[in-house]
Amino acid sequence: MGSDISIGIVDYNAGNIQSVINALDYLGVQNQLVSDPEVLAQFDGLIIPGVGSFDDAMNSLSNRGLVDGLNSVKNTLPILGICLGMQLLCSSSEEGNKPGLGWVDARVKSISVDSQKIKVPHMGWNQVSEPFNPLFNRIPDETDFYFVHSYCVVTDDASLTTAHSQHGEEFVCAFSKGDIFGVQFHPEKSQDHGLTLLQNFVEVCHGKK
Amino acid sequence: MVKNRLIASIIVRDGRVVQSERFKHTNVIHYDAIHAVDNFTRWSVDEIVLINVSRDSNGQQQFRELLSYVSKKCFVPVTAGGWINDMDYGLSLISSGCDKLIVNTALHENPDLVTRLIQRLGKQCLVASIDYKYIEGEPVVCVDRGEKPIGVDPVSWAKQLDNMAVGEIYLNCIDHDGKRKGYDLEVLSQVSRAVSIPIIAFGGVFRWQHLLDGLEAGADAVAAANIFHYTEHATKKAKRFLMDAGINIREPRFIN
Repeated sequence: MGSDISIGIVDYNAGNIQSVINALDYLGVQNQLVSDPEVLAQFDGLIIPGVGSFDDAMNSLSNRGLVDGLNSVKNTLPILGICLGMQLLCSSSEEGNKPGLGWVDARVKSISVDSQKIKVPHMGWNQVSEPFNPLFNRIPDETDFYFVHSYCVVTDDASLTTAHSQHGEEFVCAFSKGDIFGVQFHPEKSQDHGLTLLQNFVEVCHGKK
Repeated sequence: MVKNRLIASIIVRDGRVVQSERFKHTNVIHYDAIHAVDNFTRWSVDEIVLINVSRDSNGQQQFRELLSYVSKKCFVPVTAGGWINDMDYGLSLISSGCDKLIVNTALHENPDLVTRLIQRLGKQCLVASIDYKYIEGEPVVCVDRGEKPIGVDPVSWAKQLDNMAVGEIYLNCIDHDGKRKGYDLEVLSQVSRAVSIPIIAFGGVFRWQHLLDGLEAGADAVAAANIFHYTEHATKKAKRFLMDAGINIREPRFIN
């Protein structure tokens, strides 16, 4: 499975792209970095990775013409945003002033540091609860995934949420809308279950091909 | 809630895994870094830290190649560092597959570099290593592989680094390194109360109980090096011990 599928990894100069490449290579899935908006449509699916800050990332996407490029392919192929990549799919973020891509009716807020002993960044393994869409096939409820973030996604539209997690407060750690998916954790750094999630995404791409 | 983490630190000199004792890295462990990483990840370790302690900067390229090789099949987070003294080298480690950088001397000698790395990569990518030793009974932070005291105590230094916006602190008492008596719990506890970012304790673990002591003193994550190299299923057993003691940690299992 996957050998005839080609995944584009959107390259906008953000953090740990190599880890995503390593994970797809390990799964035997063809993948390529892509920064040219003209060729996005050639892939069977796209991954928007990312660590870093919201405004820098939006600037960097828009300087490369990738905001328009992504907008024009968004209904034609499955897209997975990871970590900051998920946050960019939302309408706005407290981390910055720029609007996000706005594909998913959700917003990004800073993790509240309240009187409890909550440390920010939320860094480490945490449970992913009540996961239910195709990305979580063969992944049990309450599986641990690796998180690294200081901002989190919230939404008023519960139908978008496909898994939630808790760090002090509850937040959306996975959402989907049609073939647009976002995960706050790092599947490429979450061992066997993370690789299963990426394989599931590849299978979604295969089904849409 | 986020779980406590067990971290395996792998100390590398000239491409070989070495044992560390009071920062004298003389004993080559006859074990490739790739095998160490393979085993620890199979045994449920939560994270890997790879530190290059080569005596001069000539080891930079070799270390980067090692990192690139190791990270291809390592699907837990990898932190790498040692000899990060310019932007290009730091970024080249990230593009070689590590997820975070660990810096020590640069925090004191070149804070501007650290700030630029944070701006470029985000604070969660920067782990600040604090080495300290007791001089006339007082803990003093040292840089340059533990050789140069900077006249600041670890608690004040941790607060300054928190203000500098690093993502985590990796705290090591040089006097405890390789001494098998557990972490320096008093300073660990003071530092973890003084800052709001996660603290990783390192240095001196000889029994699983020492890991538990570190977490109870306030560490968010506990790291060790030497001990994991000499026990079959080491990191899995360590986690089982912590879990049985009631620690909230990712379940130990054999992961293929």
